[in-house]
Amino acid sequence: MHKTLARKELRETSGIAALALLANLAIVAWPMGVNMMPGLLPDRNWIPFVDDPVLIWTGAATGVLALALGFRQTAWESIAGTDLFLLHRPLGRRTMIAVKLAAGTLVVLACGSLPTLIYAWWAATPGTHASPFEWSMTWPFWRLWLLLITVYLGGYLSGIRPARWAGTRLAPAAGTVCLVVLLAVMPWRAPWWALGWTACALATNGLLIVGIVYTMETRDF
Amino acid sequence: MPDVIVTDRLTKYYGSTRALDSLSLRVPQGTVYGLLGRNGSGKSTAIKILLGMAHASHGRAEVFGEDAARLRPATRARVAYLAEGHPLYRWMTVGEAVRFTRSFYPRWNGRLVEQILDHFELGPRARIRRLSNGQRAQVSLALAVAGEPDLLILDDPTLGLDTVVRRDFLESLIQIIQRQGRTILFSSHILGDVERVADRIGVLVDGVLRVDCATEHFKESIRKVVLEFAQAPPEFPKSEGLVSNRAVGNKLEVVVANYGDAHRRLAESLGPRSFEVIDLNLEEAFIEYTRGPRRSLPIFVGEPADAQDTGAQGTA
Repeated sequence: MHKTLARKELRETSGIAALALLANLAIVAWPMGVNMMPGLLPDRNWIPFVDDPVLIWTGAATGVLALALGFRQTAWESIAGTDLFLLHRPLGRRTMIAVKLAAGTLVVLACGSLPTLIYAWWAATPGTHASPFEWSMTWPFWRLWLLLITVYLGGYLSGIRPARWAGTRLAPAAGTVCLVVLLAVMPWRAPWWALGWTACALATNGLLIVGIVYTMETRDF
Repeated sequence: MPDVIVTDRLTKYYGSTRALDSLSLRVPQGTVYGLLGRNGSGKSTAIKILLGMAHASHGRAEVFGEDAARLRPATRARVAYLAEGHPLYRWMTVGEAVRFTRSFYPRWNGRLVEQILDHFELGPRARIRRLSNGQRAQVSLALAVAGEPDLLILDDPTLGLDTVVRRDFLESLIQIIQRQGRTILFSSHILGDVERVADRIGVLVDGVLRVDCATEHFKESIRKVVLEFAQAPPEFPKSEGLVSNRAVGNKLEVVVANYGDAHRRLAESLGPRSFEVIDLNLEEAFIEYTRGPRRSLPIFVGEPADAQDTGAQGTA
């Protein structure tokens, strides 16, 4: 039953995941010389993975996906009334949440990391560009994908949270976006900061998961 | 028979609004219980609390002896629930919906679901989003009963269905009921449906359970008395069981619960030119009962002694 539920989640989110993946693939194709959005993206004049604008563009696309995914798995079910159908299946509520969150996290990571791997593979291939490349240079990308899990969890919590008006309902989503932007722009080269932001992101994720479980167990459907 | 559903002074507030007020109810095993009430009377709230989807502000609710707020998955597997509007995943086909639901149930009767879908001429490749309301109700029913539940809880299952589909749906429901020991709790607005299938009814008025008795007993006990006068009619004297009285021209229409000699004597004491006692069907009885002054409606759980064993809690 866990597999069936996970398959359902992946199937339901496949549409927005495919859109985000296509957008990210289009963005990473840009430094490779295939500019699919010439009006939007200038010609490449930077060293891949060094102050790379691809990071901002793919981060934005995946961030939008993460938020949309959180809402798709929660508010959408509520609007369609299928939350009542699903919640009555004989499966522990925490297990249900865990399967949904695992599927959503997998989608966020896949949509972010697959284009990154393609981009890095291209950058690592000799003769593709006249600049050095080391795999450690891809670290900011991986860091961002991990941070976007926080945005996804914020979207998920906003999606299930009953509130009298949209402002308070959207607070977790807005809060996590602000936090992730802050963590992403802070200097990260010092070793202490790498530990610091990891601890901060993990603590935020933990709090969000506790909030999600608490909300699911105490709210009225 | 043991009680499958027990609630004790179940109360639910949404903000400052009291949606359910001290609901005490017992549904014995094998009973088909129809929960009636106007929109906003608390039927869906009661059902959601029984399924752990809403939380009571006060009181307790038990299903199969377990706290309804913490039903174990094994207990939940014994309970089928048809939510209002028959929500299903619209992107699925009927076959996918069956496979999805099947994976959750240890006791899955694949033959039964096939028979029901065949009966309703629903193929496994049909897309849920292309089905009519009635067809979605039929798929929901098939999915609900295939898990071999001991208790079915249906929230307004015939809402929005046309007469023919409703009849088909109810006939299927009756066949399901005939399986020994199965208990059904369903809410409905359509009194004809309730009359056909329910052994007992409960009527919620503004969150208060005003009626809890055998269906026949309720029908037989609500009477409309029409008194005709030469001039403007007087008020009917306040008395036990008086539901409403209103003047229509020279006539006074009085609705009473548990109509008896005392009411007849009171009617005669007003000196009418004529008076007539009218039997009501369930729908008329329900309408007359629930459109009375709500706060002062008589609590109506009286019934013959032989029916008391099946779950009534006392008399007004």
